[in-house]
Amino acid sequence: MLGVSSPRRGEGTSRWLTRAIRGLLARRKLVAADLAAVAVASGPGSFTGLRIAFATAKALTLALELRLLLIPTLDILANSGDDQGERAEKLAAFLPYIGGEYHFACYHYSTRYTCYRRKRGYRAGRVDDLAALAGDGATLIGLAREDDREHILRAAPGCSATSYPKVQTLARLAWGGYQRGEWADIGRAEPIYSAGATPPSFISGMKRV
Amino acid sequence: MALITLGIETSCDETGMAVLEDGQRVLANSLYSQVIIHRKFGGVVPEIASRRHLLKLVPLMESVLTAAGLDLGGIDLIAATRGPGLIGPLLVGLCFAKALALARNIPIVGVNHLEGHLYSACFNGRVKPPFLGLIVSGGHTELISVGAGFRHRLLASTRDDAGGEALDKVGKAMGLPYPAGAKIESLALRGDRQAVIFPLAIMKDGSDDFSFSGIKTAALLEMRKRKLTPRRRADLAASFQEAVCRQLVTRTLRVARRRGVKHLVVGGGVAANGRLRRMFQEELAPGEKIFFPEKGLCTDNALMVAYAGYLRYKAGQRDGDALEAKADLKIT
Repeated sequence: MLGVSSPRRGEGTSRWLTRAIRGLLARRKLVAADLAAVAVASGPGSFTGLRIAFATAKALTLALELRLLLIPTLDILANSGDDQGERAEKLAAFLPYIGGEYHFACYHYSTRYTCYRRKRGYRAGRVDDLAALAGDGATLIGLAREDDREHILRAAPGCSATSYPKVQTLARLAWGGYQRGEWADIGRAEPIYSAGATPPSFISGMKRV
Repeated sequence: MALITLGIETSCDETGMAVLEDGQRVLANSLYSQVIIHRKFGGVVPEIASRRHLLKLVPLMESVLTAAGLDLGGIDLIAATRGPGLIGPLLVGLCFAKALALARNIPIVGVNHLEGHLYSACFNGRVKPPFLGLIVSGGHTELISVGAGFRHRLLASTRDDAGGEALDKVGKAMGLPYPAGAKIESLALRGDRQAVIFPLAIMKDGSDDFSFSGIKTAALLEMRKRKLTPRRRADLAASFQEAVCRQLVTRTLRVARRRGVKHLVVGGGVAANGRLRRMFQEELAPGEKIFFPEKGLCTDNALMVAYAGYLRYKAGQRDGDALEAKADLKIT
């Protein structure tokens, strides 16, 4: 890993991002043209945050004729634990969505890809659905709302309910994807906004005139 | 050597890109409008607008570069709208612009969208500051003293609805499709401007501020009085448009004359309104001159952003990675 950067507390992502990229490159005496690919966490997550990353990544890849890699946030989260040497037979990664729901997906470890691979598509559900997964023997990793933490820990003692996706894991997964040629179409690339979940009311419930 | 500016506009629901050579020659100017998408909601949905901008930036950029006969290596300067506007769309365009500048190692200038509207009438040297500028659109109604060296002073603004917003809302109530303000003009051509007399709003404190909510309510009440036949609808459209234009013209000329300003500039979407243009021309005194942008440059577009950015760059402005989008960015 050549470098990692995070925004200062209270610093807006849009203000920080290009400065961080410039800083990381400068620290290693590189320029943007030295890059081979740009990878972004493709969601689900904060709609605005995802768009800031996508807009920046699209411009970089277009201007420098780089490859673009999209790594789903839950895939990053599922593999964030593996970075620390832990390995579960069945794993479920989860992130909070709106309206008390969670996005989640189930994973199994692939020796071929040397990472956790998603078993099925993304789903959305309540905290009880996460507890049921734990009841089926899945190890949970994710970020629970404060109100739900006790419930999750009761159903899955020892699970990680305060984990964030790690950018180092994103880079590691992206490198694997890059080698396998799993590049995205720059023009069509867009975030996973609400996979498997009801779109927010300002999209689905908007009153039509 | 020519300075090539790439302008990027994403302040609301139009994705715009333009390539300008030396602030004079338009090499390309493209606009992707989301009007059809937002029409079914009766107005702009910011989240949808942001998503569409993200999808359209790359294809639009490829199309303007092809039209300009350039590749990205031929761009010397990026000018992007940084506000005011909807924060989601602004962020998408500005982050894209900042990353382009980083990748190509070229300067970036953040542009005030309102300044873009003001200076679009100055394009190709038609008029230079100082002048009195009126910006009137669906989101703004502001009267600004524009001095040399980008010295701006806000003289008056609307206290409630923007001029274009009032036209949009009344048009919508009449059943006209979004954006209803633009449709009112064509409907008004068949109507009687004197059919309904709306009062001219006057501020108790004597300020030059505008107000359109009173006449908007009066128009809505008028609609409830009797069935809206095609004839009455046209009459109401013509009368309401007349009242909006009358307020804009009266206030602007009053301020101009009090300040001894001879040159006026009108920008923004409503500046494309034919009745407003004619009324201004009719009311001008000898020696007074008014300048409007070309009709195609009245709505949001990237050419005005490229031009204003070029002027700012020539005046020494350079923005860096810390450049931020600001939804309520002021012009003064």
